[in-house]
Amino acid sequence: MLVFSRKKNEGIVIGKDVEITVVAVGRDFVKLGINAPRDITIHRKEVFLAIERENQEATQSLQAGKLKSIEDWIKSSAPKDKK
Amino acid sequence: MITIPSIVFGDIEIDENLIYQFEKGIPGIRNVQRFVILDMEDNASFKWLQACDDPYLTMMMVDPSIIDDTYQVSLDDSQMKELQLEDPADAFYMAFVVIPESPQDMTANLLAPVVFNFKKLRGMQVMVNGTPDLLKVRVFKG
Repeated sequence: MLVFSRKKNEGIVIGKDVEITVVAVGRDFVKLGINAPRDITIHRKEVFLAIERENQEATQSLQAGKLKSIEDWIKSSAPKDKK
Repeated sequence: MITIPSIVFGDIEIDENLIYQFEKGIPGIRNVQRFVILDMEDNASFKWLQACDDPYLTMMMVDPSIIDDTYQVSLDDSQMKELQLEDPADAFYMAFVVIPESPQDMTANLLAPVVFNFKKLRGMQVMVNGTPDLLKVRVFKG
């Protein structure tokens, strides 16, 4: 991993379009400002981990015995495709 | 036709030309790259995603537009490239569903939808800009 020391108001540039600036430094946090094109998604790392967990939960939602009750429920209650 | 074993559905006969390739797999899931989409009878908004090489791996997906009709996903160049997507009209989007004890409480992950290129049979999960509460959005309101 590349490691930089930066002071408040200093930054780093990644590629041509992404700029990260240290906005504030506290005792146990840093506040970062990020300038990036709109099409680049930026998320806290814990959100990535939450997506992994959510995917795992999705795979555990369909034990064989549950399928019929889920399908029945959707048939009776779910909104139909509007297209 | 080939046969794909599935714990949920039993053996499925499937046209091997309908297998989607997830080059980078799906985050948090064992390294599985080949999936087929199974339609749900009577309701085009819900589909199943079955791994071709792991009978235990089946997920439910929902068309996010039935939850939020303004829902939009924008892809960057690298995502378009990975999906071999030349025309955005060749893509459709689905959201993974988590089903708790009671099906009416099912939630969809609108933070990380799955994009399918149905022309080139490529798929990948992407992230949209939004708050973490998009991870669990109720499919059925109320």
